[in-house]
Amino acid sequence: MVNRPVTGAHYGIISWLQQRVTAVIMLVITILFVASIAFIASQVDSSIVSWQKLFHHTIVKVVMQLFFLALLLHAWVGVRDIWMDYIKCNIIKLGLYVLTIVWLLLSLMYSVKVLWI
Amino acid sequence: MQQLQRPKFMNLALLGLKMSTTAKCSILHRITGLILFLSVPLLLYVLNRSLVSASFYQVLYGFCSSGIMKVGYILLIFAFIYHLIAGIRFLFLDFHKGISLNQAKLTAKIVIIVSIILTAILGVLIW
Repeated sequence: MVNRPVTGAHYGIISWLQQRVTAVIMLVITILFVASIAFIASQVDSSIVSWQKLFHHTIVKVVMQLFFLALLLHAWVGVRDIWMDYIKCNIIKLGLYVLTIVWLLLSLMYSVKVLWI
Repeated sequence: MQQLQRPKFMNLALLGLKMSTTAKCSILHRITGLILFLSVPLLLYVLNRSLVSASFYQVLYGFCSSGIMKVGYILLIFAFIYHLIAGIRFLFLDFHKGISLNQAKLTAKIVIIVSIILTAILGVLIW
């Protein structure tokens, strides 16, 4: 394991589990979210305002934030697998890893702004 | 250990490789994942605009009435739904449910059909 390349494969039960767990978390949140939207849309006086009011509740903000955090972890494992499968050169692979992580982190920061500010 | 020079098969689906239903199911899962990954900032932007302005609704309607944008978000809806349904299929496979070849082929077909139906329903609702 000493000469293990940083971008290597064949270890990663944690990543595998991470991907599954975050998937289930996002699935549950998606179902709850779609149910909420369906409920709101079925109200007589629903409009863009009722959609906006939905996001005023702290519980909604917290759960959606969890969704985006889970999305970050889930997407990282997924896209890392893509680079791992198709890119042979380790330096380029590492560069793509970094770009992917930066993309995801920036998205996470943005999600904080969208939900909380 | 000797490094044998084995002839390598340049395997690209682009070369017209014949793929089984399960193979198509799998690669489409990866492709839709990549599409969703790339569209996260855009979706966050749309969410932001929808929460910030009351007039955004009008903007959204105007935006989405052009044919290209409609095709665009139908594609995005399909990508999300397909990735979700196929993902559930993979979760079942992780628990060793549906491992046999016949079952796997069947579930792959079900995934595609369900995705198209759900996309059609949502697409019509939003159109």
